[in-house]
Amino acid sequence: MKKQLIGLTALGIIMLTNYSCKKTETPVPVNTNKANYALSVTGGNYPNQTTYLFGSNLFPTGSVGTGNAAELTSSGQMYKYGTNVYINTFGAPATLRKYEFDEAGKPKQTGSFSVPGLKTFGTVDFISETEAYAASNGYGGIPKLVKFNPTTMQITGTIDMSSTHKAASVGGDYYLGMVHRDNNLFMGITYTNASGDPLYDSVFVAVIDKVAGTVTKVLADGRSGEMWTGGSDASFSPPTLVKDANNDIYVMGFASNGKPSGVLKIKNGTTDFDASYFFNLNTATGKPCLGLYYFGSGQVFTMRYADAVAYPFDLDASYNPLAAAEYYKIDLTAKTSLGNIAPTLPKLFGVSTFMTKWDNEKIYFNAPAATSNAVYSYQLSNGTVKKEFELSAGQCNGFTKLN
Amino acid sequence: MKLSITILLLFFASNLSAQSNTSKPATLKKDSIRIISGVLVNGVVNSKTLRQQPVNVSIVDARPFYNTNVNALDLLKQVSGIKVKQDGGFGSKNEFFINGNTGKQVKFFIDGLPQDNLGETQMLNIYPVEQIERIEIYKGVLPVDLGADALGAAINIITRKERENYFDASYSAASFNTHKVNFSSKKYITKSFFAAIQVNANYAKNNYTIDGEVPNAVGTVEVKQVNRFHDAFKNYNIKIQAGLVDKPYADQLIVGFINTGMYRDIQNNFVMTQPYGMANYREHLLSGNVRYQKANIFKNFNLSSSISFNRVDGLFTDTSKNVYVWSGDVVSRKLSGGEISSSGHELHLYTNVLNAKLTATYALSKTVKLVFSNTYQYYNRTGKDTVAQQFYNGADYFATPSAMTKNITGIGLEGNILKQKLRFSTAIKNNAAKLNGYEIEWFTQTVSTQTMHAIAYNAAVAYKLNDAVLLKTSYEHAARLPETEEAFGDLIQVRPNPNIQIERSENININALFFCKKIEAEIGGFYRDVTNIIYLRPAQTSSIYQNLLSVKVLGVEGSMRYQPINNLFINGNITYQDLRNQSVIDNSGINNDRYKNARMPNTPYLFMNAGISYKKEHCLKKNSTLQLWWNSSYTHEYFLYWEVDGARELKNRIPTQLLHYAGISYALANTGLSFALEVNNISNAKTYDNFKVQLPGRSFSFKIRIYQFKKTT
Repeated sequence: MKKQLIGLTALGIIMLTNYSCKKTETPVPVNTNKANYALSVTGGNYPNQTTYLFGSNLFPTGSVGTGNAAELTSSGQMYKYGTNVYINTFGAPATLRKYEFDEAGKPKQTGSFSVPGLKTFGTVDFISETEAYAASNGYGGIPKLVKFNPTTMQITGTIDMSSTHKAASVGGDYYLGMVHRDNNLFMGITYTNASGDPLYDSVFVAVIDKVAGTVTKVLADGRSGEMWTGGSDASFSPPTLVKDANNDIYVMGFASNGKPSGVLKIKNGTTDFDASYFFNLNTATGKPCLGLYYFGSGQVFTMRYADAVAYPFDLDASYNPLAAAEYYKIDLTAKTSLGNIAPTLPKLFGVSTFMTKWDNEKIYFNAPAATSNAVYSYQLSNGTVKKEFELSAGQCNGFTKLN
Repeated sequence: MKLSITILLLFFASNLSAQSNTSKPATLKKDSIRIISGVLVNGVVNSKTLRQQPVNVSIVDARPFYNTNVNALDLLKQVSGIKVKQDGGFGSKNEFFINGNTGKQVKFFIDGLPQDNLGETQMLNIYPVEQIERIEIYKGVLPVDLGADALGAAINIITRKERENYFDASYSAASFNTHKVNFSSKKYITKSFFAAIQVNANYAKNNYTIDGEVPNAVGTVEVKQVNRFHDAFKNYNIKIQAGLVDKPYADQLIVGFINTGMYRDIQNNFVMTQPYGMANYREHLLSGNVRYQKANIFKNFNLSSSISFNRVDGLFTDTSKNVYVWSGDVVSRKLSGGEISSSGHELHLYTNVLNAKLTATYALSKTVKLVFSNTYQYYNRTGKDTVAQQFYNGADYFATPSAMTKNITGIGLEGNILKQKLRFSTAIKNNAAKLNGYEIEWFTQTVSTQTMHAIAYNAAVAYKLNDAVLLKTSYEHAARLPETEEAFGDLIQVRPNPNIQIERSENININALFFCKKIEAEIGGFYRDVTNIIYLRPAQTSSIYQNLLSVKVLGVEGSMRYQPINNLFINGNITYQDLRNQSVIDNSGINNDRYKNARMPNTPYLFMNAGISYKKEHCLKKNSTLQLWWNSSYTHEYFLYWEVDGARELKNRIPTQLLHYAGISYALANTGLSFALEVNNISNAKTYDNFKVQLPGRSFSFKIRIYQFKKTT
């Protein structure tokens, strides 16, 4: 009996100890509202359209709406850097807003800066937690690069771009696409005439010494037609300047006025176009292309326009919307096309596409079509394309993993 | 010009006796009456008479407001079914919502003559109340004699036409450096020949305080209380008339001349995020018109006609490269262009407008009349812009003429049966137009021509149930031709679209009116099915009118006027209108059904007004009159974008408005003098009609008026 009592007591102590240990080891409750993914969508019914930014705790599936989204007061373009998202809203003054997500998963604006006189920023490139650059854009604009701290969202300086201006460019200087390497920024420029057409049938890239805060020179190359679209490493739009693992910079030239779309190169250690390198995308794919999505060697993509009429504005001859683009894989080294990665996809609005990647398994890309909007994945290992989710409220113009 | 005006004023001011009555409701005589619904009405017209017509009409009698500092727009804001959105202070542009109709769907007339193409100098927001007898607001079917291709709403200002010699002068000063001067006079030189003049001028600096977003040195936006610094408005208006009345060959034969001008600074963009400091617009109108009216020109045949020629010259200046912030400071300079536009502008616009109208009625019997109306409008605009010409490599796009010819022909039947218990009207109209214009797409100009026509028809009945109750209903298949601004743009902020098409609507109205000794009340319902809506598509740089959406509108409105005791009046009205999108949009990549039946964004749907006024006769002194009034208006909040998108608590909205106005006036006995003090926006509420576009806060005004008259024999 005594043994039994001792045994029971010991068992009780063990249980209590065990219980108390378990109690202390109880995991912190998981916040199921926490936003682990951020999306932005152009919602609304034309002409009452604007941008919606929202978070998702789980990887989105099914049909995704905007019921949890913040509504911006104008259309916008999303950027990501680290765990933060930024939105460049359109309309004067040009304003870049930084968003974080609260415990309820709702986006909250935590900072912004504005530049009076500008209607929007052409492109934004993030260097570090404390250094980033936003380019002014458009006709009548103020020719400068704005240097800012992306943590505090304060302007820390400007770089005067007026030396890149050409007097004949009365339609405006467009700053399109940016990439950084060493102490330099490389930024595309398109000069336009009064009709809004490119003034020259050449690709222009400004080389900017970001340490000195001055423009070093403007490169020009007539093997392709012009620069267009303003993507960067942080953006969700077709990039025009990308940097590979060797620190070579590839420059996407658009087809224009008889010149083909194609890729130029600025080799590591130089600040000039590589005269020996040109990848003619018109020849390789049979049609004009835009955008250069680079995810490492062997994983490079572009948007090929099956119907050249829609190139590059996604409009037909009567200026009505026309979806004609398709994702093509290309080989920058061999200068060859590897074909359509998803032939069964509907034709897309190429300017509204993006590709993004945050792990070594998949690339995610959006498919803005005439009657549907969806985000797909591309399996890096075998090239399998899978629809991940649809968007019920409009085109996706930003999708990233936050945590 | 100044000397001429002085002489004219002296001429009109002379020979007036000391007889005066500042609050006298002038009796309307024969020469003041237009053909109402095809019937030439003799005798006094009052609000009740007009409201008993089969069509759905609200009447605002302007005469009780002559001593106050309100303008035509302020009066309209108090009418049921009407919401007015403004984008600034005095002289700013405004937009009407009447029973679901808005923008150009609402036609605007002065004495039955269309004002659509006459620029900004004749707008309601600057029209002095002392020059108005009444305002008619048609909601649904329009009388065929108006000769308009309206979609279901129209505003007709009836100007003063007293049969007496008088002069009426006033001056008012108000907050934000606002000054208004008004003078009108009429003199019968002989029993049947008169001359009249109406002159008014306004100036407002509109430097009211707003919360401005001012970026600091590091780009962080700081909200600061700042005064608007480039928002001045000024205008003048001279109208001279001479005419014959009660002649054997004419009941009226009147010749008129109008000379007006306006200037306004352009302070900011559509959403008030970007201030401007130099851009401005000015306009000048010269107009001549002749009116003729004769009853029984042949047996049972009445005739009324008018013709006017108008010349409008506009100048839009946008040549500064300065970049302003809301503190008024210049913070930067652009490389090229202007503050607003990429090209910069010194845009001269020259517009010729011819309006001609003929209305005839023939009495088929004592109770039934046939009405015929034809309105012809010709519009031609050319321009010149040497600044933009440089930008466009020597091409002056604006020199290309834009022209529109419009003809509205209508025939109707009106009358009453069942011992006048049942009144009816029905009409059919042919609306036709020819447009020659151009569009600029991607900097390429394309000239185009198109012709269009549409048949519209309507029917309305009013049944007098008894002396206290009147029931009305009406149906209309309406078709509206594009307006010139919709087809040709204003070339400043609106681009041309000469391929724009006709807008159509099915309209139904049902109303019940109740009259008794102390109460007048009305309740009404309205339905609109509008297709091919001509919609101003907003954009960052410039906007364009396009045929876009289809909308169904269902609404109710109620109004009441109660007089519990002598000289005390209480009134109120409420409107609920539910506008639902019916469109599906292809090729947008959006689920087509997602926005079907969704409430139309950026459109007010619930609003109401209430007011109380008291008049004390023989106050302090015999024949002196004291008036006190208080009005309040409420507009429920509404969303800027589609209701179905976004988290409700994170959506952009135009917040609820509750505004109060009050005033006091005192008319001195037998002198013709009166004084008024008013306070607008008493609570100094921060209000918006358009998203983020702040309206003036509390303001005060003072007015002095002198009115003297002498009855003619």
